[in-house]
Parts: sequence; C-alpha cells; structure tokens
Amino acid sequence: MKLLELHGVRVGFGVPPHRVQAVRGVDLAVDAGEVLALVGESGSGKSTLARVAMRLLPPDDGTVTYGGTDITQIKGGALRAMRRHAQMVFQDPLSSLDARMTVLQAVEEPLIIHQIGTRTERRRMAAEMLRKVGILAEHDDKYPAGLSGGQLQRVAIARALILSPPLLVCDEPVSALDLSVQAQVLNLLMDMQEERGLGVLFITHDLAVVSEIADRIAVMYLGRIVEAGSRSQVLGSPRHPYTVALLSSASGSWKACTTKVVLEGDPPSPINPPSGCGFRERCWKATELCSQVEPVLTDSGIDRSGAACHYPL
Amino acid sequence: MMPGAMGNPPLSPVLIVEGLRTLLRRSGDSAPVPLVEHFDLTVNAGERWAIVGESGSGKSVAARSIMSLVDPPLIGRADRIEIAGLDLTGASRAIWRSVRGERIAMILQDPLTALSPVFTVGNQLIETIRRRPVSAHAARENGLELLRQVGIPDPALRMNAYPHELSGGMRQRIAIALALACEPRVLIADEPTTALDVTVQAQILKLLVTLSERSGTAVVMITHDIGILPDFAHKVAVMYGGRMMETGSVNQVLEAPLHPYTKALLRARPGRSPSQGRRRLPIIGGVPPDLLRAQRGCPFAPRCEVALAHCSEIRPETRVIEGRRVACHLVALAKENAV
Repeated sequence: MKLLELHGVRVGFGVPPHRVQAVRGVDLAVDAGEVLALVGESGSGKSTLARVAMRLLPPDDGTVTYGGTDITQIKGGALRAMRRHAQMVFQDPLSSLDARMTVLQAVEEPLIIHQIGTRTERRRMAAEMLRKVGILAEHDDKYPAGLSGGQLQRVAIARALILSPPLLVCDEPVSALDLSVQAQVLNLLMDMQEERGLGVLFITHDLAVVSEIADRIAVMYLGRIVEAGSRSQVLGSPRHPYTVALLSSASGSWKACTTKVVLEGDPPSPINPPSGCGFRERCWKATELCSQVEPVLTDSGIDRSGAACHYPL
Repeated sequence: MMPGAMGNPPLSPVLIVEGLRTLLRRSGDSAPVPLVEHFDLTVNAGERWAIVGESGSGKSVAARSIMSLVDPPLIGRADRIEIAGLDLTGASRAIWRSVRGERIAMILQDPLTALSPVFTVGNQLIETIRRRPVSAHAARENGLELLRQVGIPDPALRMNAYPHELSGGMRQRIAIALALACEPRVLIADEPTTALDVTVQAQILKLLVTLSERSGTAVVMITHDIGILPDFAHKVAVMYGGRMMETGSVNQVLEAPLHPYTKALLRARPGRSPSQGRRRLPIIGGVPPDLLRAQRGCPFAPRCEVALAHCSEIRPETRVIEGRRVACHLVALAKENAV
C-alpha cells in the first residue's frame, strides 16, 4: 500500500532572476513498512522534499498524497489531524527540542496537542516510550542541555513515535553523531521500524548508513531524482554515472563497485542549472545530446527502478 | 590503491613531539585537568598521518598544541617539540610566530574562518607570500602558480574574487594554497573535508596527496572519518579520552587492529554489502568519558568488553607490539604470554 505519494513536485525559493529551483519535478512513493532512502549532496533538494512530504512547505506545483488522500491544500484542523500520521526527526536534536521543556514534557507534548488520554495516562505513555528508546528514568526530568547528542536523538525519536504514526520522515538523523553512538541510534531506528511496521523516508548523504537501513534508494541531484531502485540494485549495480561517483567517494568494503571516480568541478548552481542533464558538466560520459535533452527517469514497472541518463552504465 | 604500497618516503623526521600534554585550568583552586596526555608523534618528510578520534577525544586540541596555538584556560606543555630540525621546546611566542607558516602550517575545517571576507583571494595570497622578501610582481606570479597547483580554474580571474564568491570546495583549495604559500615542511589539516560534499571531499583528498608527493610536505590530518584513511594516510594514530590508544601503519591498524577500542570502532562502522540481509550494527556500549573528571586508568576501560580488573586503576603504558604502539594492558599481557 502506498503510504506517501509525491507527484510532479516543484519547489523554488526567492524571486527571479535569483530564484533557486530546489526541487524540479519529483515523483516519489513510500510504501507502508518500507524504508526509502533519499540520497544526495547538499543543495540537491532532499531536505526541501522532506519538508514538502511533511506539508511543512507548500509545493509550487504537484501533489502530496497521504494514504490515498490529497493533502496538498489541506489546512487547519485537517492538517493537524494529518500530522498524527506522519512525524519527523531532524538532524540536530538540540535545536529541534525545546530547551525549556524536560525530556518527559517534550515526549508528552504531542499527546496534549492531539488530546489523547488524561494527564496521568499521558505521563505514563511518555515514560514508557522513553524506556523503549533506551532513556533511563533518571533522565526524565532533565532538560536537553543536560543530555548527550545520542541521548537527545533518542528523545527526538520517542517524541516522533509517541503518536504511533505509520510514516516517519528522518532528515539526516545520525549525521551529527559519533560513530559509536551512530550505530546505537541506527539500531534503535531499525528496531522501531520493524516492530511498528513503519514506512520511513530516510534522508542522508551517507551511503554507508543507507546500505544498512534502506529497502529502496532514490538518488537526488540538482532537484531531480536521477536514479531509483532497490538497495541491491543501486548499491550493487548502479547505472547513473553520478551514483557511481557517489559510491566511489564513499568508503568501505561493502560496495560492489570498486571503480575509483573522482569528479571534476563543483556541483552546479541551482539558480542557473545547466541545460539538459543537470550532471552533464561533471560527467565523463556526457555528449551533445545531454546538453539538449534532459533525460527522464525510465520506470521499469513494479519496482520503480531506473536511471535518468542517456548513457546508463 | 593503498598509499602504504606506494614506496617508503625517506626517513627524516620533520616533526617530533614527545610527552605533549594540554591542561585545562579551572577557576578556583582545583587542579588543572588534562585534556590530552602522553602524546608522542614522529612524522617523517613526505609522510601522511591521520589522527582519528571521536568528538572529545582531544585530537584537535592536540593538533593546536603542537603548533602552540592554545590560549588560557588551556595550557600546552611538551617534553620536546622539534619542527624541521628546529628545537621549539619552550620557545617564545615570537619564535613561534616566525615558525608558523614557514615551517608548519594549518588548514581548518571551515575555510571561511581562515579567509578574510574583506580582501580578495589574490590580496591574501600575495600578502602571505611577501612575508618573504620578494617583489610584488614575483609574488603575484607565485600566487597564480599556487592557484594552478591547487586546481583553481582561471586563476587570474579568481585572484580578484572574494571568498564569498567561491564554492566551499574552491575556498578549501584557496586555504590550502595559502597554507602552502611559504612552503612549510609540515601541514596540519584539521578536518579539512568534513564540511564538504563527498564528491568534493574526494577531490580535496586527492589534491592533498598530490601536493604532498610533489613537494615532500608531511601532512597530519585530524579526522573523525576512518573511511578516508586508506586513500590518504600512511600512518594513523587512534585517540580516545585524550590518549593515544594505537599508532601504526594504516594497513596494520585497519586490517588487524590490536587495541579493543580500535576493534570496536571499526566494527561499529556502517556498511553492509548489497547481498547481505539486514542486521544490527555492533555497538560500543556506554558513553564517552567525561574529560573533566580525572581518570586514573585507561579512559576506555568503562566501555571496554575485555577490560581487566586493574584497567580502570592503572594507566597502561604505551608499548611497541607487532610494529605499532599500543596502550592496553590486555594486549601487553597477551604479548607476554605469547613470548
């Protein structure tokens, strides 16, 4: 079942001639119970897309469908009700948690907003949720400043999951954490995802992390999805040159492809994207055709895989 | 390709650090706390080192202390510091000022903090080059050549650009050009690629390797990212809780780590092969040490799965075992039993 569907989403910021085209026409779907990793470098538009999926940002064009219902235009009470079904975890828990709320209060707050249970029940639910994510009772009355980064991210996860949403959007949830703590939080996310059958949109630039958690992978470049497929397809036999370059820059023995590709040049400006394929200026396979015709994501049916490239590998 | 296989550079030390310690003096009468202790490092010409550790391991503080760049309440002390043949143990501020840039230079994580926003790239580059007695014209030529070396397209055009007009990768290239302007023998790079995208990170690492091979400049890179070691460094020092845990060649340490911390850290790295099923990552339990609390034994002891009874009481000496330096009671014990 499709939990979340994005169709033809476009988002821009600013006014011409300095308008940034952050997302330039993206189709994306997250099924119930699957982890879709959205991979890209800074400026690729992945976080903007996450905010659109959460209805934190209105798209300029396109639709956001949640469980079959179009939520692109909903407002007020309907929007608030939708938030029960989709929650978000951000990169920096210290700035996403209220510094003046204790850990227990922070986890209880969503229940208050959605008027669930009595005060005593809410406290009990929040405390249970905190134990589930591995926060000891002795920390319940502490403020965010008194906890470590890993503990805070656990609290943020508890806060996101207290309403039992079927969809969780995670924007770089482990990028700010040290390796030893990162593994703990990733394990927690995998536990919660499996236990609750969560659909997860997992946004990151780190392919090693993706390889651990993703069922499917979508690679974003300059506001477009350039390659999508199952984890084994994208990591095992990448087809878009950009995916190959990205995999080549990632480290570790887990990669199937070992070709070393170091790209030339810088990522292009989203204010003034190149004609045709956004990647052509850095691509070693680009020809005249790439500057004239923008390649589209070929959709090979049921597993929605493919590469937006004239010369896929 | 593993840099270890690239043939050995001639063994002439350009940086010798012995018994470096950095103390944090606290208000009141309480004794200063050591943030870095027992730090020893010998870097040969042309060698590339990586000092790896998690946040709070003391790697950056150690790097700054090597260059005598710590200010109160931090106090840096060392039994011996020698850079490019010059003994700098207990040297004055004036001497240090003449040494920095000339013999040892540094690049930082965020190039914007290293560059002045109000002067053009060319201005800053020429000013640095003219620390030496060269004409303005020669300095400009030299500056253009430096920009070319660090892979800046249209160097003549970029000389007139301000830092904010350049991308993050370009700025880091400029910072590298500035650091290399006076041809230092040692370059300390503190997380130079952490703020960059992975594809740009690969470019900068490649550049640093090329430059160090061409000029014989030794590079000491401070990083939290074990992943970049195979493509960059010959040697690695693993730090935890302000101490060096294990020091050796990158091949040795990554392929066959001896110290329990190194082992645990390498295991905790994410990355499973495309054919492998979903798993749980091996974790390091517990939390990093509180550096403000004086520690008697090994800083890793509370989180160590194989800790011995005396590990939290007695600090393990650093010993040379299997061609590397390891500070661990258990490894030392295993070694003794094996003999």
